[in-house]
Amino acid sequence: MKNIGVVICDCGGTLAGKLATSSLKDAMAARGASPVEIHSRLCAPEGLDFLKERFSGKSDALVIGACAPRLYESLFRSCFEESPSRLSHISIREHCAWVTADNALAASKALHLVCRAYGAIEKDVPREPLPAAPLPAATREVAVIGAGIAGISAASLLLKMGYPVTLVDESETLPPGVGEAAGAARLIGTIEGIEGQAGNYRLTVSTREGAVEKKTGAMLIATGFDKSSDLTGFPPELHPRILGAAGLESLQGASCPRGVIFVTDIYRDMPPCFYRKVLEASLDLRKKDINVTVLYRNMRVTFENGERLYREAREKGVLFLRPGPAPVMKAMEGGMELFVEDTLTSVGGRPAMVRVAADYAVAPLVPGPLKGASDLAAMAGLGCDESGFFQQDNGSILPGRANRRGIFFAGGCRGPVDGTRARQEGYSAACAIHAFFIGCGDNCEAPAVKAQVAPGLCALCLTCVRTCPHKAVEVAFGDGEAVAPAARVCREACEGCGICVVECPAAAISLEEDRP
Amino acid sequence: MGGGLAGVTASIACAGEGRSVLIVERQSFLGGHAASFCCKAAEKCLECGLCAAMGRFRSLAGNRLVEKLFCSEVSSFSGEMPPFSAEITVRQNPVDPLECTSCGLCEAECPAGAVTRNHEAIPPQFYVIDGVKCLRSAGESCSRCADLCPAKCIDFSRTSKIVEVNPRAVILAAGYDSLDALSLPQYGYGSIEGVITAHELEGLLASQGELSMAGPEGRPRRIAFIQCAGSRNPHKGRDYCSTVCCPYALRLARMIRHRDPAAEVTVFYIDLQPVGKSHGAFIEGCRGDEKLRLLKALPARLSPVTGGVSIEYEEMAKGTNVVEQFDLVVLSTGITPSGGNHLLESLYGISLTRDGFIKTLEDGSTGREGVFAAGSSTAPMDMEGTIISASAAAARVISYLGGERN
Repeated sequence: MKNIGVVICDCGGTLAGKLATSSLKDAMAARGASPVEIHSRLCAPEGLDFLKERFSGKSDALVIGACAPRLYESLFRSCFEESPSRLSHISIREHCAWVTADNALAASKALHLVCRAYGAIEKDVPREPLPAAPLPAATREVAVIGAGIAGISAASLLLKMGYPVTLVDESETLPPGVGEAAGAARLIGTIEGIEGQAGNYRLTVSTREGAVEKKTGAMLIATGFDKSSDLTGFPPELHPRILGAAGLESLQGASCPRGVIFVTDIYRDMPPCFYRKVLEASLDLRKKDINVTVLYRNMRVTFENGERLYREAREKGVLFLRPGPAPVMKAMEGGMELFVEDTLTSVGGRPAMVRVAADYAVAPLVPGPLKGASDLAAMAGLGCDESGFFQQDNGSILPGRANRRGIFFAGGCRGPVDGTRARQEGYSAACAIHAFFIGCGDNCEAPAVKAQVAPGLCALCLTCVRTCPHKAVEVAFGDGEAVAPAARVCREACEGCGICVVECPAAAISLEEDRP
Repeated sequence: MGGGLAGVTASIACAGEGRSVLIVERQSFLGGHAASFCCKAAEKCLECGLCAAMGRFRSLAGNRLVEKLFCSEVSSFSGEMPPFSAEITVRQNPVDPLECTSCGLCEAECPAGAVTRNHEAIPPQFYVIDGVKCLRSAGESCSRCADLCPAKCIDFSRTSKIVEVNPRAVILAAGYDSLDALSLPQYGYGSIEGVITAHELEGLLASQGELSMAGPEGRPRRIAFIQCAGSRNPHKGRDYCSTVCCPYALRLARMIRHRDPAAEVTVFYIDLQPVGKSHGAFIEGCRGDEKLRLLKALPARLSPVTGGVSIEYEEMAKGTNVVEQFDLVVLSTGITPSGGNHLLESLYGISLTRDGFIKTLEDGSTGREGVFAAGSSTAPMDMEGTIISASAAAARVISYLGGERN
C-alpha cells in the first residue's frame, strides 16, 4: 500500500483539545500518511461528501479515527467503491477520549491506535475474508429462569408467538397468574452450568431426579430481587416488635392501641414499590382507627396513583414526619417510643421535637440481589453492577439486554421494581427475544460489522478473550498440525464493538463487514 | 399513531417481524418531544436515554417497511374486528418532502418565519410551512419561498387529502403535552425575564451547547430549578407525580455544573424522586458537589429584580421566610396528558384514567379489540420506561396478530 490517507473526526470539536488532534495530524503526516485531514462532523452529509471528495479514487487505503466503528463504519464504507480498498476505523472517542479524565493519556492512546492501524496497512498485513459458512442453526427455544411475575409474563407472550418455553425455578410453588404460562415446560432445580453461545446455549439444571441438560436458543433471566429488612436504628430489645415489609399482613389481627410506626428511607435509599406498600398498609390501619406515623425523607410517588395514595393517607390522619438527625427509638412497657426532630414543623425557630408511642414498627425494606445471582452471573459470563444486581448492556440503550447475545433480563433481577413494571419488562423481553430470533437485531442500529482474527498474526496472548465483554472470543486449537491455534470470534456472539481490535497487541484483529 | 419514541420503538419491532407499518404523525417530523431534548452527559454519561431514542429514530428513518405520514391525524376509525377501516387526514404542506433538498433558502428568506425543519439528526430532512403563520393565510399573495426554491418543490395549490387504510391493529402512541407554564402565575413565566421552562433550557443547551444569557460575563452564575411546577397539584387537576422531572432536572444540574465550574445550582423540591436504578450513587454525587444545593422547599413567590429573579421560600425547619436572588430560574414543568386524548377516547371507544391518560393493561391493551396504547400517552414515564412500554405493546400486537400477514 502506498497511498494511505488519515482522517480524524473531532466530533464537533469536542475531541480537539482532549486528543490534541492537531499534533496527531502532524505526527501522522510525519509518518508519511497523505493526505491527513481533520473534520468535525464526518457522519453528517457534508462529512460524507468530504470523504468522497478527498479520498475516493485517490487513496489506496484510509485510516479513520472517529467514534465507535459500530456507529458509522458501514456508513463510511458506503462512500467508497473501488478505492480506498482498505479502510481501518479506529475509535478515538469511545476508546480514548471518553475512558479517562487524563487528557495526555487519552491523546497518547489515540496516537498509538491510529499509528498501529496505519502500520498494519503499511506492512499490508493480509486479511482473509470471513468464512462464508452459515451461522449454526439456532435452537428456537427459550429458557425463562425464574417463574415470578416478569418470567411468567414473558413466557405467556412467547408461547403465543409459538416458541417452546421452559420455566426454570428452584421453587415448586408458582405465583398467582401462572395460568397465563400454561403450556410452558417446567424444570424445578438449580442451574449448575451454562455453556455455548447465542442460539445454542446449553443449561445444566440439577433437579431432584438428577442433572438435566436443556438446549435453548435464548435465555431470559427473571430471578427477581431479595427483600430483607434493615434494622438500623432499632435497639435489640425492640426487635420482637419490628416487622419486615413482608410481615405487614400480620398487623391485620394485631392489637395496636398506641399505633404503628413505618420507617422508610431514613438511613438509605428505598425503591418506590416499598412506599406503595407503606401507604396502602397505613390506609388499612387508619380504617381501624389505629394511629400511624411514617418517617420519611423523600416520599416516592412515581407509581400509579402514588400521589393520590399519599394525599389520601394525609387526609385520613397518617402522621408524616421528616426527621433531621436520626430518630431515637426506645422500648417502653408493652411497646416503644420514638423521639424525632421534625424538620417540617418549627417551634420558636427550631425544628419541633416530637414524641410518638407505638406498639409495632415496620422496618425499611432493603432490596438486594438474590443469593445465587452472582453464581449465575459468573456461570453465564454476565456482568453485575456495584450493588450486585445484573447489569444490562449499556445502561439505557438496550433495556433488558445482557452483555451476551441471546441473554435477556426482566424485572427485579436488574434492581427493585414493582409488579406493574415487572410485568411490562416481561412483555418487553418477549419482544426483544422474538426480535433476536427473527434476526432483526436489537431494535437499534445493528451494524453488520464483526471482529475477525488474522490467524497468522495471533500470538495466543488471550487479551481478546479476557477483554471481550460479550464472551464472543474463543480459542480454536486448530486441526492437528494443519492449522495453528488461534483466537476465533464467534460471529453469532460478536456485537462489533471493536474493543478486541483496540486491545490486541499484535494488531491481528480487525472489524470487517459480515458477509454471510 | 404517533412518531415519537413509543411509536417508533413499536414500529421497529413490528416491522422487524416483516409487517407493514404505517406511522401517522401529527407534526412534520419524527421524534416527538425527544427530538428537542439534549444529551445530559456530565463528566460521564448520566443515562438520560436520549442516544437510545435518537438511535431508534435514525434506524426507523431508513426502514422501508415503515411508511410515514406527516402532518396527519386519524379522522375516523371503525370496525369490530381486524381489519379495521381508518381515514387519515393529511394536512397540506406546500413543500413536497420527496423533492425538498433541505437547502434552507426558504427558512432563511420567509418574511413570516413560517418555515421550519425537523431535528437535523433525524431523517428525512424536509421543510414545512406552517399554514397559520404563513402570510398567505392572512390573504396576502406572498410566494417568496416558492419563487426562490431551487428544487421547485413548493406548491401552494396542494390541498389536504384523505388516505384510507385498513390496519389489523392500532398502537396509540400520541405522547404527552408539556405543561403550560403560563398556568402557574406564581412563578411569573412569561412576565419575569430569566424564568424559563426546563424544556426551553434543554433546547438552549442542545442548540448552543452552553448557557449564554443573563448574568455576569454573559453566563448565568446562580441557577435555580423549581421542581413539581404544575405536578402533584390536585387543585390544577394534576393529582400525580410526573416522574421524569427530578431525573431530568438533577441531570441538567450536574451537566451545568460540569460545563461551568463557576455556576451555582439550587434545586427546590418537595420530594426527590428516583433518578434511574443507581439513584443512591447519583444523589451522593450531587451531595458531594458543594455548589449544587438540594433544598426541600417550595418557592412561594418570584419577583423580578435588577439583573435577575428573586425567590421567596420558607425554610421549614426554622419557620422563617428567605429571599434569594438568581440569574436564571428553570421551571421543571411536568407531563400532562395529551389534549388529544379525549378525541382518541371517542374515536376509538377507549377509556381514560382519572388523570386523563389512556387506560391500559401492562401489555398495552386498551379493552377495545385490536387497539393498544404505549408510552407517555398511558402514564408519565421516562425514555427507558417508554421503550419498555412500547416494546411490551409491540410484543402483544405481534402475538395478537399471530401468523397472519397482510
